[in-house]
Amino acid sequence: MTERGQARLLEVSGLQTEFVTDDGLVRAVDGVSFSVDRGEILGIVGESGCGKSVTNLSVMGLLPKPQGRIVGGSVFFDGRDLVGLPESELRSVRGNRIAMIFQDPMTSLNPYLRVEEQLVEVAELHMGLSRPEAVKRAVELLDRCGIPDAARRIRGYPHEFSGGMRQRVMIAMALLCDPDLLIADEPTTALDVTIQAQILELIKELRDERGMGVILITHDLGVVAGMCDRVLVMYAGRVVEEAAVEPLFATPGHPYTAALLRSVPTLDDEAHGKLQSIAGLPPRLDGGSFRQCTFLPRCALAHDACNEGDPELIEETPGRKRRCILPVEQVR
Amino acid sequence: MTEERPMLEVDRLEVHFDAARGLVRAVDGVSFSIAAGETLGLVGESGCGKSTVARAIVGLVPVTRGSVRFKGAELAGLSRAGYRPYRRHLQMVFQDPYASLNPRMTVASIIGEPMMIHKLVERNLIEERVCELMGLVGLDASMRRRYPHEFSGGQRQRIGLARALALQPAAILLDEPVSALDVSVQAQVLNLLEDLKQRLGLTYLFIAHHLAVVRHVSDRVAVMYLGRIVEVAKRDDLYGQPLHPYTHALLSAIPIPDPVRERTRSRIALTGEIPSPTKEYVGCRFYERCPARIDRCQSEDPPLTEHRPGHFAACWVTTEDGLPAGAMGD
Repeated sequence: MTERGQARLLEVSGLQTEFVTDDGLVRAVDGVSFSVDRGEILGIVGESGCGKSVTNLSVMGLLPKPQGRIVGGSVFFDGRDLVGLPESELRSVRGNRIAMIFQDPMTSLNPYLRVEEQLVEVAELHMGLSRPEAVKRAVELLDRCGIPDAARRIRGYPHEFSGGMRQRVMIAMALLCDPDLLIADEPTTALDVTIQAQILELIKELRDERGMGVILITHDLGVVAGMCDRVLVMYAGRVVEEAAVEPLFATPGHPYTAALLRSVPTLDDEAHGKLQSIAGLPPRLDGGSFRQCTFLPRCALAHDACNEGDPELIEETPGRKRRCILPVEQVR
Repeated sequence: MTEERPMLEVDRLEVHFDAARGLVRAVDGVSFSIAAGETLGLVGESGCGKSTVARAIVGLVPVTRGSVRFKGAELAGLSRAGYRPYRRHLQMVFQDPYASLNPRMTVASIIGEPMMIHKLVERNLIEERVCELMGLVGLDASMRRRYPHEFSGGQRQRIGLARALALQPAAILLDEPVSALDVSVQAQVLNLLEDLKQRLGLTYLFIAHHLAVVRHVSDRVAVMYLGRIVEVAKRDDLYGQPLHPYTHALLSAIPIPDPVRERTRSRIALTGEIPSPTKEYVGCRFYERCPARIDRCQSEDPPLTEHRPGHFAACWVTTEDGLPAGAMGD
């Protein structure tokens, strides 16, 4: 936890991100605020299109240009606002202090370069290491990430590694500069469960050892339950609930969270039973304001009062925010 | 118990491919049967051969050795023409609802074409039947003139199902049918599958890597590892009292959406990854990664044997009482 007066590692306030598309303007992120402390794992959950990935691309300054841009809010990283920083300064923050890993390792590995070249380049560029030092550090990290025979494997090309091994190479690359913040966007979604368990364990160990802050974006509520300290639930470009992990699962405060929790089959539910699904689709995010709750058309608990305005995200108890006018005991 | 002929019998099925890196034994001696009206779940990690099993059954890849019988009729080794009379009875639904629908065809032609080819419905009645099928899978029939890209992922999976159902199949082979979908949509499709099975008396082979999803839909479950079935049992037996160390490890690796339980349970950590299917084995294929291995496992290949009634496992260590205490390193 952060000491009083000390800046949080990451503090995002009122972030708004828009895209210009063929179908018009899309406000993919609409006023998102959250923070991450050192040594904390923050989970961000929500379904495709809820804005969870765009939020993090915005934080990293990696929005596709010219279609995507931040139109409001701030992203304070270690006390400095990253929004509007020139690309050269952003680049030194990325890589050095904030690192990102993606679902598909091939998007961040160059298929034409040996793993060694890619890792060593990062270490030379961002850490100012000499070539032999950089190689040594790269081998160390590959080894740490569970690549057997790292000193030899480092000379291989990405295609010579299996999916799980490539993911480890990417994690090693992300951790090379000892980042303060790791943003992991569905890091294990493409992996098998036994490999997933190994990778998640590794991220947790690194958090414990280095006090690294982690943002873990995932749709898998099981992964959230095992990994995260706090959770943001996103819907239609906004945060609809924020809570510590245990209360979120025990007593969800938003009907969307409750419905998500009930839509996943578990190992002890009634087999062949009916799963709760969420009918309908999320609203179009054209940047206009909403006159009612954005989840209303899909909400199983909706009533008349939900039509009367777009609910605010309210902190009802310390650390617990939700965007719903129903009393919390009525949410199920 | 009266012995009724299974709908589908797969016996010592082998599917091998010649690849640059050597002979790939994708499926290497798989046997199972599915009774009419039953759902058999087939789980395993990527590369274990589970999709190839389904592809071999529907004739999309040639069978190297072994037998595939549909209601007693042998399908393995049939020519394209020889297979044709059976094709409509065994339909397949694929994982990727984006890749498995022709983007240049309207939904009406995607669903209608197979009926036309198999001459199941009079040409002038096809439109009507398309609308009926769309209704059956929960799609609005007024959208039939649209193209696949105008539909969401869940809707596309419904289109794929309607296309499979158009031929009134006896069995549907579902290859990771919900893995590409968001959880709320996944729930809709799983509910629909369950509902269709009840209404139409379908038989399913449900292939997935997600053990909780497989448990939800299956009557019996088979676990594959490196081209072989290592365990098969009734659903509750398999999940309640797994016999094979690999099944134990898989079950312990699934994250449970409950922070209190997830953080207190013990996990059987497997090291390494699934080895290459080009490798030849004398002993058990799981030997290198197995936390319960004994010497015998390296030199002798364990056969799939019945340890309890209806509960089969291929393991030297496990007994009728399950794995001996301490075998899994607890």
